[in-house]
Amino acid sequence: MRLAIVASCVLAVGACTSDSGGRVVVAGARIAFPAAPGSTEWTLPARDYSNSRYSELADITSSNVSQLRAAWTFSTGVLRGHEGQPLVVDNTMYIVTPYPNVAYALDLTQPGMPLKWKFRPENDQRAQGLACCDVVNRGASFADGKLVYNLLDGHTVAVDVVTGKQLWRTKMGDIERGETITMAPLIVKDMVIVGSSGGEMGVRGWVAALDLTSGKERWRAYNVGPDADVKVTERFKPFYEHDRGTNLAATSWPKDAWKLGGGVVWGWISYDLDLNLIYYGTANPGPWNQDQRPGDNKWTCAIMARDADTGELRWVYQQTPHDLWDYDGVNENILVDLTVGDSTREALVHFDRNGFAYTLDRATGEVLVAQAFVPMNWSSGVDLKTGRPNVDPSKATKQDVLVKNICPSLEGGKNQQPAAFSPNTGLFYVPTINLCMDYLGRAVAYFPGTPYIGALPTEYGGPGDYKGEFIAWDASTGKKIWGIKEQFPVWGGALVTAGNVVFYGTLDGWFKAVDASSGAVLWQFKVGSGVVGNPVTYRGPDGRQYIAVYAGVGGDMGYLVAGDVGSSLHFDVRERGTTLPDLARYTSWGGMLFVFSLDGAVGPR
Amino acid sequence: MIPLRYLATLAAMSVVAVSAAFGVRDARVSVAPQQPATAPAPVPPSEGARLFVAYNCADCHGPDGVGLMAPSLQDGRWRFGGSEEDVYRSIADGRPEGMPRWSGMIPADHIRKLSAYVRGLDDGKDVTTMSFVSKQGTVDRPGH
Repeated sequence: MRLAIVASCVLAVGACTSDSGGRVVVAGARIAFPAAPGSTEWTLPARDYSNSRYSELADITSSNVSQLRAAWTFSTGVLRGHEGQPLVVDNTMYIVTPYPNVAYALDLTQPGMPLKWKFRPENDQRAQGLACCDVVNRGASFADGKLVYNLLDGHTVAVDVVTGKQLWRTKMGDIERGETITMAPLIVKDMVIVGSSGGEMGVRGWVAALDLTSGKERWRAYNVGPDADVKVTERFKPFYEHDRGTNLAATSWPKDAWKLGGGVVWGWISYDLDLNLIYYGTANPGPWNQDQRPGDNKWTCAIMARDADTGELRWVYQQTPHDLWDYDGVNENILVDLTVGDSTREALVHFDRNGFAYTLDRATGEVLVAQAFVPMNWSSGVDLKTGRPNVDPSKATKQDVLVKNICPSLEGGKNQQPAAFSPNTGLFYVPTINLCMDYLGRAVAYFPGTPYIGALPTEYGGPGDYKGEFIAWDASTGKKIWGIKEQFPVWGGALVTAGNVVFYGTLDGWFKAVDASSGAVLWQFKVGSGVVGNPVTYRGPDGRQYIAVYAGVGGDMGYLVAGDVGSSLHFDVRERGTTLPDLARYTSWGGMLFVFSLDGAVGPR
Repeated sequence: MIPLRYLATLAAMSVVAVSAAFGVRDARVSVAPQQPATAPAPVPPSEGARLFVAYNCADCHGPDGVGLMAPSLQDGRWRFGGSEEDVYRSIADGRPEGMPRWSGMIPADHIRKLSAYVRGLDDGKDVTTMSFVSKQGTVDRPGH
């Protein structure tokens, strides 16, 4: 294990302070929309509408976490990338697997946690060959006695949590065109918010709302195309001048190119209960080869704010106009109130693939802070007057030109693995990636249901002897507080608790507990496979606090684990590739839930 | 999202102009080709390799068929049969887990050239042992 902690807080004037115990604190930062006080469950993908991944549970603390032990485990029966997280509601744990997207309900009140039910949905097997980046699923949402999640073949399903029977199943995507769905839906009021995947297949990205009771579509908004499709009305008020106008999501493309323009929605959704806005990010434009799509390619690689009831676009901020590097903008948007300069701002914090961490005003889309959070060289910074990045022309990709040493690589400074935020420290805990790439653009033709990419990138480790780092970030000033270097990209998400402990897992299968203030690694356990999922915590019916996480390497950067070159045979041997040449030494395919408690105890005390 | 590797071979290839082929409806490919009694006529490998990139095969199966979002074509595990005719049928008709049906999308002679190229991709590429403990790491191959 390589561990490097940089305690830069004390040097950052005004960024943060220390409390009486010497702990790092960013004063005044709080979760905008926390879970209900006293809640000990995990009902939504990121636990609350702010996407904080914070829990008030504090039985497990930085003082006793070294006593954490495995309490029980469960095999999902599927050996693919286990992104996402289980849910825990009413003493029942709900698990959704990668394709074929089986759902399990485990009874936490009984010894051995027997199943209440198992649900195996109809799920078109062709979808497996259309998913770009492993057949992952990022989890379910729970409300009104329903477990709601997406199927890889483009359907959304609702399951009765008592009977395990399907209540409704709605076709949302068209796999004939390469549309799949991997994201975790978010239940907002009486609606289910869903978005599409397939940005490498020449699809056209959308987000939609379904009626929670019936599964009927309430509205659908595209991210590229004419205003009517994008739901641009007189209520659309982007902060920056260059984002204002008519039909920009069509006219910022060559004629009709938006029809294959990508901008899908495979990441996380958050919700502002006061403004009634949903926030999400859009993915890369299609194709990757930029010479085939001159223009800003609005609204790809952007953060979108829409009215939850109507889908109308209220504001947008495009982090990477005319993307040249496959820097999808889909990463989570965490809603916090914090101090920027002299005032408290209602903010949205976003760690982008492009390597910048953004603190935005979540009512307007104004960029308040934008600073690099990983090694990067394609841009010297973001112009806060325009919101646009300053691009180094030597790192601009082109057709038939091999551009070398672009950082970060197309995996981004961060990918799907969500960060967490603690109101106790005011810090964000961010799993990051340190890879760079060489990139050759090429002309590409569109064939329905096949990749529409037009690029040949080669990835390798970035500067320094590490390929990932788990960092703590002050979003008020845009500064890293500490970091834990890892030999592989950190592809699993973060959890932080009121016990001042942060949890995350690594591609090589270490599940770790870290002091939220100092970054000291307090405990670690080698689980059965690499971790690409997100830990959760809950209080069991026995009164104990548990920590749960999936082990199951996969999901793009991890699914090539068997030697780093492609293998659909779980047992097979593959020659090592160049990006993560040693990963297969440390882990192999898996599909397990691991649950931890103090001393590994389960049941009445 | 897709990491691609083994750039060198592909970087040397010229990009084919596929617009003429795109949209071609070729009724001939609905008829199964005759099983060749002898080895098929040799096809210049460069032609198949060029088409493998031009028709986006490399974006799913990886450069040189190393395997990516779709299975490896180098490992000698021919799930739907390993003859050139079997490979032809896989390309022309598609396969259940997402392999598209290419007949009707591209000319039959292009499928034939792709079949010959793909069938040759596993020559000497299979790996049976990977050692991680020796200094450089070692690879054993079955020797075919």
